[in-house]
Amino acid sequence: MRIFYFRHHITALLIALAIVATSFFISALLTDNRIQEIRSIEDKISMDILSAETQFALLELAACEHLGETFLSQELRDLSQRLSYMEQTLGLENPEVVNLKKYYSLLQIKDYLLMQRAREKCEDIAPISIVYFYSNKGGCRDCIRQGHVLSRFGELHEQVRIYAFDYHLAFPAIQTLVALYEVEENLPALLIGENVMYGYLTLDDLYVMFPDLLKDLEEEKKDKQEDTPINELLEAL
Amino acid sequence: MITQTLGPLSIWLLAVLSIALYYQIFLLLVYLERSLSPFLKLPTLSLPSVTVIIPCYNEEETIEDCISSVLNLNYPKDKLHLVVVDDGSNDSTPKILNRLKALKGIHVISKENGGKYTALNIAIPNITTDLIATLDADSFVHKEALSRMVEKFLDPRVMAVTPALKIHNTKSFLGRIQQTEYTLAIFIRNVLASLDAIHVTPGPFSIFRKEVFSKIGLYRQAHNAEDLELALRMQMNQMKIANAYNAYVTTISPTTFTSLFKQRLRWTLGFLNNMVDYFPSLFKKKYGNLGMFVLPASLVSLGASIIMFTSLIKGVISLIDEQFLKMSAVGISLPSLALPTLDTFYINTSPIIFLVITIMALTILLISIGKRLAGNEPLRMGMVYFLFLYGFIALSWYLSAAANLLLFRKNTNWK
Repeated sequence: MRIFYFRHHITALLIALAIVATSFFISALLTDNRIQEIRSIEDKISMDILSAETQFALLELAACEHLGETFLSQELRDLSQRLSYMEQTLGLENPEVVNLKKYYSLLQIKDYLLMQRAREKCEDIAPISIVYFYSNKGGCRDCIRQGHVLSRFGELHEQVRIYAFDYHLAFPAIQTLVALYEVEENLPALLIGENVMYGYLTLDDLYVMFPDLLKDLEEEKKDKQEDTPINELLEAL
Repeated sequence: MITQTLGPLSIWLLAVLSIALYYQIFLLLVYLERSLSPFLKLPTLSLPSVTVIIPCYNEEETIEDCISSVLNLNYPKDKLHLVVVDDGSNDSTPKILNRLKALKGIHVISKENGGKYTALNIAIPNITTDLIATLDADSFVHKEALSRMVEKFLDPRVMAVTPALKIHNTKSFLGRIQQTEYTLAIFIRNVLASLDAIHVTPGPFSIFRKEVFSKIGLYRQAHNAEDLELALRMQMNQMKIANAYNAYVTTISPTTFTSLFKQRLRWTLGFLNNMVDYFPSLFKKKYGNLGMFVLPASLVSLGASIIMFTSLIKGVISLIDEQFLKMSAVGISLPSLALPTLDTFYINTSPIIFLVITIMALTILLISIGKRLAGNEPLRMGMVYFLFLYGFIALSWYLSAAANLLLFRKNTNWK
C-alpha cells in the first residue's frame, strides 16, 4: 500500500502560504511607505505653490526677482519620476497610483497657471512652460520618445518647465485644459504658448522654437571649455 | 485586490512561484523526516549474481573506459557478467569489442541498428542471473556503485534500484551548469524514492530484478524515452524502485548547446508523450504520490517554467526596447563619473521579488544537500550559472518540446 504523505502536503502548503502572505505583507508595507513619501512630496509642493501664489499676490509690491525663488521644476521632475516608477510596478489602474497622479496633475495645472500669470508680469525671468499630453494606452511609442526628449530638454535648461498630462486620465481638471486649448487625441501633443503641436518633436525641433536656449547652451559649453584647469592655469600665469 | 497590486501577468507568475515554493518545501520536509528517522539495519545476505548490459552505437571514444569501469567493480567476479550489445555501429566500436571479447566474462552481441531498446531487448531474455543492470556506453561506474545498489535489494519489495548520477566533464560552462543540475537531481531522486515516486530508471546505470521483465515485459520504444516508460510501467504494476544515493555513476554530458538541446528535447518530448500515454494514471490514489503529486507537479512545473522564463525574457526585451527608444530620442548619454546615489524608493519590493529570493535560497539549500549526498564535490561557479541562466537555456527545449507535441508530432532520435 502506498503512502500519500498527506501530513507533509498540508504542512508544506501551510508554510508556502505563510511565506506568500508574508511577502505580500512586507511588500504592502514598503509600498505604503512609498505612497506616503509621494504624498508628503505632493503636500510640500502644494504648500510651495500656495506660498508662490501668495507671493504673486504681493507682486504688485515686491520685485520680480523674488519670483525666481519659487521655481519648483526639480521637485516636480522628481515627483514625476517617482510616479512613473509606481505606475510601472503597481500598474496603471492601481487606485492609489491614479489618485496620486490626479493630485500631481492638479499641482501641475496650478503651477502652470501661476507661471502664466508670472510671465505676464515678469516676462524676463518667468520660466518657459511646455505642456505635454501623452497616453499610456495603445502603445504610443512616440509618447515614450517625446517623454525622453522633454526630460532631457528640462535637464539642460532650468528655465524650462515641463508639465506632463495623461490625456486619458479621467480627471475634470485635465479635461478642462484639453477642452480649453482644443487638444485633439492625436498624441503626443505639445502646448507651447497658445499653440498646440502634434506628433513627435526632436530636441532640434524644440531648439528651432527656442533659439535663445540653444544660444545659452552653446555659451555654457564654451564657458566650460574655457574653465578647464589647464586654461585656468594659463590664465593665472 | 491582488490584480490591482500585481497586474494580470504577475498573477500567473505568483501562482507559478507559489507552486514551486510548495514543491520545494514538501521535498525538504520529506527529506528531513526521513533523515531523522532511525536507520534500519537489514540482514546480510549472500550477494546475488548480476549481468550488466551495455548497449552501444558508435561509442568508440568511451566504450573501453566504460567496460573497464565495470570490470573494476568491487564485486565477486564469479557473480558479475557483462554483455555488450553493438547496435550496428559504423565506427571502430566493433573492432574494440572484438579485441575486448577475449577477456573473460565479456559477451558481445552484434545486431543491425534498431535503437537502444532493441539492443537491450535482444540481451535480456537470455540472462539467467538474479539481477540485470543496464549501463549506457558513455557512462562509468564507481567501483563501489554495484555493491551499494545491490544492498537495496535486501528489501524484498525493491524491484529496481537507481544510482546517483554525476557529470564526467565539468570544466566547461555547460558542464558546470549540468553538474549543478545533476547534484540537485541526486537530492530529488533520493526524496522521490522515499515517496515511491521514481519515474525514471536512468540509462547510465539501473539495476532490476530479473522477474521485472518476465512480469511486465521488455523495453518499449516509448518515444525514445524507454527508461522513463519502463519505470512508469513498473510503478503502475506496484513495483518498488529504490535509490542508492551513494552509488556514483558518471556520465559524459553534452558539451555544445546543440547537443544539449537535442538531448533535452528528446527527454522532454519523451516525458510529454509518455504522459499522454499514461494520462489515465494521473490523479489516481492507487499510484500514491506519483500519480497524485509528482507527475502532475512535473507537468505543471514544465508549463510554469515556460510562463516564468517567457515573462522574464519579455521583461528583458521590453527593457532593451525602452533603452533603444531613449537612445533614438536623446542619443547615448555617457555615464556620470560621480558615484550613483542609491535611492531606496526605486528598489523593487514586489511580492514576486521576495518569493523569487526565497525560492533561490531554498534551491541553494537543496543543491547543498545534494552536494553532501554526492560526496561534497565542489560546484564552483556552476551554482551561479544554474541559478541565473539554466531556466533561460532550458526554455529553448521546453518550448520546442511543447510546440512539437502540440503542432508537429515529430519524433526525436535516441542519439
